[in-house]
Amino acid sequence: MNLCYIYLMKNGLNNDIDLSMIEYNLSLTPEERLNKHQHAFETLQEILKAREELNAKSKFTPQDTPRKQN
Amino acid sequence: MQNLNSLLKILLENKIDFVLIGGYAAVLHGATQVTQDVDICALLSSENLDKFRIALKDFDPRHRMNPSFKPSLLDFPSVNQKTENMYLTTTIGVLDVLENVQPIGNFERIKSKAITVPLFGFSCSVISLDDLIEVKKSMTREKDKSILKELLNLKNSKK
Repeated sequence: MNLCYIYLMKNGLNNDIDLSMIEYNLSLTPEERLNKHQHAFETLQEILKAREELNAKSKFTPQDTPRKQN
Repeated sequence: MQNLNSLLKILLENKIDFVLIGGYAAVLHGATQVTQDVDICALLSSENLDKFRIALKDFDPRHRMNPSFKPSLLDFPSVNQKTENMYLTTTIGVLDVLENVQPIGNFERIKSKAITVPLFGFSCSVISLDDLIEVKKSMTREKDKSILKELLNLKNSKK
């Protein structure tokens, strides 16, 4: 058995999937799964909004402002 | 704030006959991925379209596929127009409605194998895990491949 496989088995990873997260989801009721998803969805929306704001700000870098002529 | 649970609840409250498909169905089956819309399979008969209009009228439902022309669901499609798919935005989330789900088939076929899940005091039809796996296998986006891996693990864990 190669070391990589042992590592994956130890960490509950199978095909890049964290099995412990799936096991946790299966321990929840369907409604709890959706509520958990909604929480993650709202967090993702906040992150995307912050990224948009950051991108908008970076369009106006100091280099874009006209230099004072001496 | 968008709330996909509220969107789903409104569809259930208004007794629209649909089957939940896509990423949200994957979440109900136990997948951990975050999806940004609600996908459903439903008949787009004039009777059902009226139900969608009544259900969503307070949430500014608009067809979103053409960025320069986003007609309201309240106006389009009109009585004599037939549509097979609707890709909508609303103030509480994105909703896609499909009559046919490739490669599985039409609403009746999807519904015949669907499971029933208790949600928010209602019974919600959800595409079967086997059908959802076949749908995701047919898609090429990385996101779908990633969900497919989870669904296959879920199927193995239920054996």
